[in-house]
Amino acid sequence: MYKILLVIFVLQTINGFSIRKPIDLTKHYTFSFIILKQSVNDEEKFKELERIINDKIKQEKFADAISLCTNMEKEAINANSEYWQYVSYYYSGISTKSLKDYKTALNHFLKIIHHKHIPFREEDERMFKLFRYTGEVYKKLESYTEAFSCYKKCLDYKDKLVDKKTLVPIYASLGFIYSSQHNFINARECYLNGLSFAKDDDYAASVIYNNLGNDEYSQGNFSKAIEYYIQSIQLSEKLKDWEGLASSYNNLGNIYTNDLKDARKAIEFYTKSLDIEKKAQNNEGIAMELNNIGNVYITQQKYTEAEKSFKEALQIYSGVKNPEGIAKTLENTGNLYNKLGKYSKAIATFIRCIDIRKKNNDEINLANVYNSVGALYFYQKEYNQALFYYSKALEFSRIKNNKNLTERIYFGMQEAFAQLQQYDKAYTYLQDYSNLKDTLLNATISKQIIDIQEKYEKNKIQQQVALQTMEIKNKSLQRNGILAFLILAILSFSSILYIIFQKRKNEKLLYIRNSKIKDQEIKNLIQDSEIRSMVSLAEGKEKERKRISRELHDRVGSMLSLVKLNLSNYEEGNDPVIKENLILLDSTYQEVRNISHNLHSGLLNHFGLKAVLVDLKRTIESQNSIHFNLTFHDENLVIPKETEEVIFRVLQELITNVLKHSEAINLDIQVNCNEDGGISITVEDDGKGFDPLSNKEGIGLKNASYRLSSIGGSMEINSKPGRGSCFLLYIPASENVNKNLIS
Amino acid sequence: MNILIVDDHKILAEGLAELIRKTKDHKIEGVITKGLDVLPFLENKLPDLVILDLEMPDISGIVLAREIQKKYASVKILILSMHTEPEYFEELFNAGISGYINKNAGKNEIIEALEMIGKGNTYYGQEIINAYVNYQKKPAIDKHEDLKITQREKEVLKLILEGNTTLEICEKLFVTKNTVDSHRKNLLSKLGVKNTAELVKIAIERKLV
Repeated sequence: MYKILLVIFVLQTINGFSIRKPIDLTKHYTFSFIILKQSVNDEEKFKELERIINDKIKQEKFADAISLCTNMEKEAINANSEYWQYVSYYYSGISTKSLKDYKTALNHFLKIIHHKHIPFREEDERMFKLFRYTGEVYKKLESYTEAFSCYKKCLDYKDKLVDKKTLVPIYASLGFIYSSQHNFINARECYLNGLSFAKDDDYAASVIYNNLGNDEYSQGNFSKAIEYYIQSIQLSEKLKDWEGLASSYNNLGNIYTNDLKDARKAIEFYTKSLDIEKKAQNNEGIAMELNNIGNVYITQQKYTEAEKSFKEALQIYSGVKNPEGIAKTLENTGNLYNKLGKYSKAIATFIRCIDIRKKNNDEINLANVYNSVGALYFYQKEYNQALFYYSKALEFSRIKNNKNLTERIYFGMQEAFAQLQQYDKAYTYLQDYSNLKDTLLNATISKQIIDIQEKYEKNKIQQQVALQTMEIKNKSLQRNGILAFLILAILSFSSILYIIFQKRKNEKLLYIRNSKIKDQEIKNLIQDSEIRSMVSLAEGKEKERKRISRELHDRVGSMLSLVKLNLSNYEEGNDPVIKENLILLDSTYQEVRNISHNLHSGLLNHFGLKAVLVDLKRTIESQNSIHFNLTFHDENLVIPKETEEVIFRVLQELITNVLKHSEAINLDIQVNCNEDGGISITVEDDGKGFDPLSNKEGIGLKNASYRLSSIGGSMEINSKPGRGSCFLLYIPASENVNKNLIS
Repeated sequence: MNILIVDDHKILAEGLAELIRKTKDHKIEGVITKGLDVLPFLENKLPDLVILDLEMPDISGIVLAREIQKKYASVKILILSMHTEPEYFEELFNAGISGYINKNAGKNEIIEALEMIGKGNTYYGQEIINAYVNYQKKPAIDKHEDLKITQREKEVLKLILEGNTTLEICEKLFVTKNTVDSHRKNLLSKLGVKNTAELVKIAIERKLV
C-alpha cells in the first residue's frame, strides 16, 4: 500500500506538479490529494521565492540573495524538485559573480551546465543568460578558451531572443577574445556584428569603437585606430560618458607617444583626459595621466616638468593608498633619474618600488625593475650587485615566460660576468642569449608564415577536412577493431605463459630464502644488542658534533673576523707581510667554516629537510659525477624537527653508502606523503647492488633502521648484486607528523 | 647614519663599532649582544640601520630581521653572517633586508656597504651573490615536467601494464607491498595522474615502457 502511494507521489513530482488523477485508489484519495495540494503550493512558494531573490539582486543585496538561494536549495531538495534546485544554483551564481567571487560563481554555473540534461533547456532566455554569465566569469578568471565557447553557445539563441541588444556585449566579448589572440579578422567581424545590433545603444557602440581602435593599434594601423577612437569619443561626448571619453583620449595619447612620437599631440590628449578626470574628481585617473604626461616630458627632455608631474602623481597615489600606482610612479621616477645620470638616486627609487611590488607579489613588473637596477649597477661598475639583480629579474621573467625580457637579462649577465673576468660564465650566458634570440626570431617568422597561410588556405582546408573526416572515421573504426583484438589475444597468451613460468621459479627461490632467513634471525639477535648501544653512541656523537660545530662557528669564526677587521685597518700601508697574513686568514676562516658546516649544517634547523637535502645535492654533484635526482612530491609536507633530524641522518648514511660502494650513475630520492599522513621516502640507485642477507653492509644499515624505529618508522631494503638497490623508509603519521592544511 | 650593532660576541661587536666610529660618517646608536634585547631597544630609539648577526643563542637572526622589517619598515638591515648558503639569503632578501655580507669581510667592504645603504641602495657580498646566481641558474629540485622515471619504477609500471595485481608484482620483484605502493604513488605524482587507470593510459600514450 505504501508502495503505491509512493509511486503517485513520485509521479506527481516528476511531472512538475501537473494535476493528475490517481487511477484506482479511491480509498486513499484524500491523502494523495493533500500531497498534491502541498505540491502546488510548493510551486507557488518557489516562484515567490524566485521573485524575492530577483528583487534582492536588483537592489544589489547579494549576500541576502545568496542566503535565500541556500534556503531555496534546501527546500527544493526536500520537495524533491531538481528544477528548483538548479534555479537556486543559477541565482547563487549570479549573486556570487556580482560579489566578484568568480570561482564560486563558476562552480554554481558549472553544476547546471554539467548536469546530464540542462534543466532549463526549454527556457531560451535563461539559457542565454546562463551561458553569458558563465562566459563572463571565465573571462574574469582569464580562461579565455572556455569563455569563448560559452559566448559561442550564446549565439545559438540569437534568433530566439526578443531583445537583440543583449547580443551586443556577447559580440564585443567574442571580439575581445579574438583580439587577445591577435586574430584581428575574426575580431573585426564580431565587433561589426555587435555594432549592427547596437543601433540605438550609443554606449555599447562607443565601447566597440574603442576596442576596434585598440585592434587597429595593435596591428600598427595608427591612422585607422585614431579614426575609431575619434568615433568612440564623439559618441561618449554625446552620452556625457566621461569615463569612456577619458579612456579614449588616453588611448590617443598612447598612440602619439609610443608610435607616432609626436610629444606635443600626446600631451594635448593626455591633458584632455586629465581635465576630465579632474572634473570627475577621479584621483586614480588623474595620477595615471600625470604619469603619462611625465613620461612624455622625459622624451622631450623636460626633466623638471617630468619630476613635478611624478611628484604630484605620487602624492595622489599615496593619498588613496594605491600601492600599485605608487610603485608605477616610483618606476617612472627611477627612469627619470637614470636619464639625468643620477644613478644612485635612480637605484634607491627603484628599490623602493621593488619593496612595494614584493609585498604585492607583482611578479611581471618586478622582473622589469630588477632588470633596470641590474643595468644601473652595471653602469656604476658594481658588477656583483648587477649580477644579483639580473638573476632576480631572470627568476621572475622565467616564471612569466617573458622571452624578450629574458633575452635582455641574459645579455646583461653576460656583460657583467665578462667585466668580472669570469669568461666561462659569460660565455654560457651569451649562448643562452643567442639561443633565445634565435627562437624568438624563428617564432616571429613562423608566426608570420602561419598567418599568411591561414588567410589563403582557410576555406580550402575546411572543405577538405569535412570530406576526409568522414572517410577516416570509417576506415579507422575497422582497423582499430582488428588491431585491438590481435593485441589482446597476444597479450593474454603471453602473460599466461609468463605467469606459469615465473611462479615455478619463485617457489624455488622462496624456499632457499626462507632457510637463509632463519640463519639470519639468530645472527640478528646477536647483532641487535650491539647496534642498540651503537645507536645511543651515535646520538651522543650527534650532540657533540652539534656543540663543536657551534663553538667553531661562533667563537673561533667570530674571533677570526675580528682579527681580520683589525688587520684590514692597516691595509692601506700596503705592507706585504700584512697582505700575506690577510690571505692566510681568509683561508683559515674558510677552513673553519667548512669544518663547522660538515659537522653540522644549520640549514636543517632553520629551513628543514628539503633545504638541507638540496644543499647536500649541490655539494655532492659538485664533487662527484653522480646524478642526484631529488623530488619532493608534496610541497606542503611539514615534518617535525626531531623526525627531520633522524630522516636526514639516515639518508646521509644511505647516500654515503651509495657514493662509497655502489658505483652508481643515478641516485634518486623521492619524498612522498601517504593518504594516512605517513611519509615514505624511496632511495634508489642503479649501481652494482648488494645482497641484503650478507652481513658486509649490515651494521650501518641496521643502525639506520634502529634510528628510524626510534621514531616509529621502518626501512625496507631491496637489492641484488648487479641490480642496483632501493630503500624504502616509512614513517607513519602520528600527532607529530601532520600536513599543513592552511597553505 | 645612526647604527645599532647586534652580535652575541661582544669583542666582535665592539671591534666593529670602533671601526665604524673611526670613519666619522656614522654614529653608533648602541651595541647589543642579546637578540631578545633588540625589539625593546627599538621601542625607544630608532636607528637608521641595524647590523645583525644571524646565529645567536637566544633568537634566530632571521626571525628578528622579519620582525624588525614588519614593525619598523624605515629601519634598514645589514646582515653580517658566516652563512653563505643561498637559502638564508633568499629568505632574508624576501624579508626586505638592505645588505648581506660575509663575516670575514674586510674594513673596505664594510665601509662600502654602509655607504651604499646610506644612499638608499643595497649591498650584497660577492660570495653571497656568487652562491645565489649559481643557485638561480639551475633549479635544485627537478621540475615535474621533465621528471625521469627510475629503473625500478619502469619495472613496476611494466608489470602494472601487463595487468598484474600489487601482490603479483610483489612476488615477481621480491619486494613488499609497501615498496610497490610507494613506486606506484611516485609514478602517479610524477605523471600528474590520479589513479592506476589514468596511469596505464598515459604510459601507453607516452610509450614509457
